[in-house]
Amino acid sequence: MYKFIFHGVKQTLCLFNMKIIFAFFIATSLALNANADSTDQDLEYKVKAAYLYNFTKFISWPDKAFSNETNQTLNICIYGVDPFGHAIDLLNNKKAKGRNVTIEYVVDVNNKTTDTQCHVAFISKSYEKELVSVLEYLTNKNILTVSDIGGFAIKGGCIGLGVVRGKVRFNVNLKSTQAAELKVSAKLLELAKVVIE
Amino acid sequence: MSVLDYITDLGKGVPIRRKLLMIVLITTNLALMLAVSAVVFYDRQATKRNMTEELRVLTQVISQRSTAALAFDDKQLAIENLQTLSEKETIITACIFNKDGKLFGNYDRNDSVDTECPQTHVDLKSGFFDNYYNEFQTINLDKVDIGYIYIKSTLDEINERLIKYIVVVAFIFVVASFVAFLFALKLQKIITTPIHELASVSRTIYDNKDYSIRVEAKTNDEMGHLVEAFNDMLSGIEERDEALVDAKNNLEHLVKERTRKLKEAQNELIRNERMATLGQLTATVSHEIRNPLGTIRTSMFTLSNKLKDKDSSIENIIERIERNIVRCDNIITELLDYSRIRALNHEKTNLNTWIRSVVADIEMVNNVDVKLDLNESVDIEIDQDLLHRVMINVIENACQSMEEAEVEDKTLLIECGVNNSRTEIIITDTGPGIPDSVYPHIFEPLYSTKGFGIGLGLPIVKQIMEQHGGGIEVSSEDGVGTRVVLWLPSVLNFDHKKVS
Repeated sequence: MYKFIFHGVKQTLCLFNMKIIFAFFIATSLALNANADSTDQDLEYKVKAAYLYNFTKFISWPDKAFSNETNQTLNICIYGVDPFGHAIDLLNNKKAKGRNVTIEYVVDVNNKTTDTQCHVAFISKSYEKELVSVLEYLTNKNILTVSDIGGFAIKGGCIGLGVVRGKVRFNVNLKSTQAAELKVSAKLLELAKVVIE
Repeated sequence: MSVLDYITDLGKGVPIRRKLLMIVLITTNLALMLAVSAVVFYDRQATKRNMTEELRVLTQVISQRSTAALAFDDKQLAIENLQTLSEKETIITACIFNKDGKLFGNYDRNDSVDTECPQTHVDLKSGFFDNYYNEFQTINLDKVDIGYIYIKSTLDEINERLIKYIVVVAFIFVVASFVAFLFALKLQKIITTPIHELASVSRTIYDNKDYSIRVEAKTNDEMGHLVEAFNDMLSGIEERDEALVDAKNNLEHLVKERTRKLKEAQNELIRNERMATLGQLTATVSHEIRNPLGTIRTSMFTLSNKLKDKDSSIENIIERIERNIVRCDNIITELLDYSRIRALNHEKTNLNTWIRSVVADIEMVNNVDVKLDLNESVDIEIDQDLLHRVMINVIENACQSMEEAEVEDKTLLIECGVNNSRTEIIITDTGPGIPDSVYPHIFEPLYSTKGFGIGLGLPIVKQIMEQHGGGIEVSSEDGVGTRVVLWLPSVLNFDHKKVS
């Protein structure tokens, strides 16, 4: 779609107009973030919550990720301040990989209250500054790390979420997923904006 | 009227050759048509099944590939997925709906009509509709329905295949029919040739009326049996023809025989009637004449005794009177003998000896030279008295005829012998023979050419011979003589019927 429009523009408009259009694009995308009101925010996180759930369907965990618990649940852990609100509650009691989905909240990585095995870890923007240490903590634990922190995938996270023209899109870092011994479905990779290898 | 009856009716005037061809072709073509229809029908079904299966799998693949697109709301990817269907030309529309039933992505082939996606997935289902096949599936991810996919395909491919198939099948049909026709044309001769042969032979037989012709049976089937039956029938006709000819000949013969017997019977009847009349007449007349004749004789005897000494010249006259009285008496005896037949009094006789004695008894007159040629000694049963009279009658006749004609060489040849089953006494004279005008009447009673006698000599002879079961045959040559054959059957079988 994007290609099509770009192609069409190139056909119809001259070069100096291109610059104006480009500038307009950047401006709108910035404005989208800055001017997003609370309803848009809710919708955005509702979609992101759904994505968290949907990712589980295209990711394969190694068997050992489920070995230390008798009650086989698939745990989605929220690190930092919960940006989802009620949206995340909808995932509770849903099924993924034949297991019940449960939501865990980890407010402080260093003072973790439970030793629950996380399968998906959503790192909220509140951890943006300590991202390196958090990621370091989460590596090699068979955890799919997801975050909407800018450049998350490049920085070593598994899946980085972003909004492009009002749509939630994501990048995948295959190095990170491989390090976490996760297998990513080709269908998911097909959808990814950028795949870092 | 059924179709079969109709066909049978149509074929009535058609030659067997054509009928056979027709039968073979109709049967072959019907069978071919059935087989071909079955094949086409089966192929059509199989093709449809294959097509639905192919579309089902294709749809499933697209559906599986589109789960991520649906899950992450990426319409572009869904459309790209659907566009891979462009490789399949029959698919004109493909639509993906999200789980709420709203159109999520679609593909349509530009060069086709009817490519609009339905507004919603409700009412959609798989199957053939109008000229299309629809495939509808639910897209699910991890056992949860996340959308629907709908694909619409034209039937062009399978229709084209059907047309190609029909063309090929029609070609095969024509070729097979033609080959069947050629074969039938050759093979029908197996049946028609013997029939034609039979028919032509029948025609020849009818035209020539020659029932000796036979047809050769070349096979051992119904045709062979028919030919055999035909030949048997010819034999039957031939036999019957022969029997008819025989019967015809027999009939002619029988008619002749019957006519002859009838004539004989008629003659016999006439004769008997005559005889009866004659008998009565004779009995009365002879009785009435004999008495006065006896008186005349006695008177003559007395008269002659008285006159003899007085006048010797009267002796001649008296002698003449006496001679005529004897003649009259003889005639009466003859008449009585002929009309009053008595039963045979037969005794065994040696014929040779008997003939000699008979000849010796006869007083031969005027230098008749009697020759005897008695070849075989035969013992036979005869009535000597009656046969004696026969011999006397015949010999006297011969002598008289020779004397009357005054021939120089008066020879009487008497032969006796056995010829086949007949014992014959043959008496030949050298007289003048019997005139042609007289010959047919020689056995008729009361027919006489002589100045004396009443014409009962030969009839009596014939009667006696026949009474013995034999007969008399008279043959004569003018100026040479007469030959009389008296014959008796070697074994006597007396005809008692004639004894009355």
